[in-house]
Amino acid sequence: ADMSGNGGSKALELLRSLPRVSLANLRPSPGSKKRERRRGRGRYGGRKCGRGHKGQRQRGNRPRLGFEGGQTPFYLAIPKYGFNEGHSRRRQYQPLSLQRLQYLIDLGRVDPTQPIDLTQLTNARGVTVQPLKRDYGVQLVEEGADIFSAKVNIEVQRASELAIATIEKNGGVVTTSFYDPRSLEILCKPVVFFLRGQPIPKRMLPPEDLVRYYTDARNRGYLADPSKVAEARRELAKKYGYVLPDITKDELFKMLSTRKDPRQIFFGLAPGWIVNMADKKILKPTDERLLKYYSS
Amino acid sequence: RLTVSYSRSSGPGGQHVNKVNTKAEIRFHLASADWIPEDARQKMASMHRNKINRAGELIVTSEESRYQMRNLAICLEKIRTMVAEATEKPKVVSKETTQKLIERVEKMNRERLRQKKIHSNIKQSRKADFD
Repeated sequence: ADMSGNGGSKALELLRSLPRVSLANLRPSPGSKKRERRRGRGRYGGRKCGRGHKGQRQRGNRPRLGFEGGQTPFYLAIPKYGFNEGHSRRRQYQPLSLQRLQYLIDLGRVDPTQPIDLTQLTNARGVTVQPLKRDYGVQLVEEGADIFSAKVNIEVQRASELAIATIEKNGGVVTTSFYDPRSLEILCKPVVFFLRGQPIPKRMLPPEDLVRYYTDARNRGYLADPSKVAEARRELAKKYGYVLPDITKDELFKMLSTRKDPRQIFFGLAPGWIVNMADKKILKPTDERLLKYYSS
Repeated sequence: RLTVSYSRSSGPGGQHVNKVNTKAEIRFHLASADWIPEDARQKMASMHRNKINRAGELIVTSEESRYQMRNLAICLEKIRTMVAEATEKPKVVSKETTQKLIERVEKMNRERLRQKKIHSNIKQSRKADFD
């Protein structure tokens, strides 16, 4: 029966007239459920039951996987080398493709009129970061670079060159910043942290091997010189052959240029403050030693 | 002044290759390109004769990457290297340097012959010549 009535009216009429949908009326679509092969039944499944003729194969006594009949097996003949040494201690970054970001923005899960942070992405369930599994944050990946068209202020932990170029081509701003594991956990699950009642700690500076990465303007690091960042933007525009849009003339310029302080974890809150969820109040320290410590 | 066009790349890749325009092609009329110096233009015309079509346009394509932007960047890089190759001047060796080089070669030869004579004297002194 042709179901494409005017606005589905035929379907509604049918629903009114046909009997109630129950287990007796339902059937899987033809071809979706295939009969399984059962061994030991019938002419083809039975007789030797797919085990071959005599020997170790039929009797189930084959040696272990990797055994080569006594010859030194491949996995023992090759000498060890530290390719995977310390792999469980390496820093991992959850990939975030530009396609996924565009998808989230289009569905309205992420607001492009506000600066996009890991907290925003986690709340929108766009990415899932596991700080306890050596995750150090999110990295921007180029998948979807040709389709991307959104003007956003993004803050991630790592970003590849093409991804930075794509975002800047559309008039956005990318920054890479470092979060140590404790701050990352607080960033991903802020409510749980506030319920603990502890003051917001200050974000630690990156370790030695990452300082170089975050002070480089080409990676748009948060510790890099702003003038060098502007120069790097122009260079990228020249390399990829697009006209660099002037964000100072943009109406959202103030929002696009908001950046976090290197010691700050949340946008509106400073280190040292305690957020009281029950009474909806924020407590700030008054002792001068504490203030000195938290503002250093 | 550069005409950029995108088309679908060749090669395996299934649905993605069939639907997405990832091959970037840049064309520009070589003779009227005023941003390249005259002699460089002629050199490019002779070096990349195979890449110039009947209308006189130099065509540069790239379909190495999956992303349009990266292919465009690769095309631009290729054009930059072409222009750089065409503008480089052959190394002019000054008179003093050529003289120095010739003197060096002669000195080496003299030294080699001297060493050879010394070696020959040693070998001759070992000869027992019975008179």
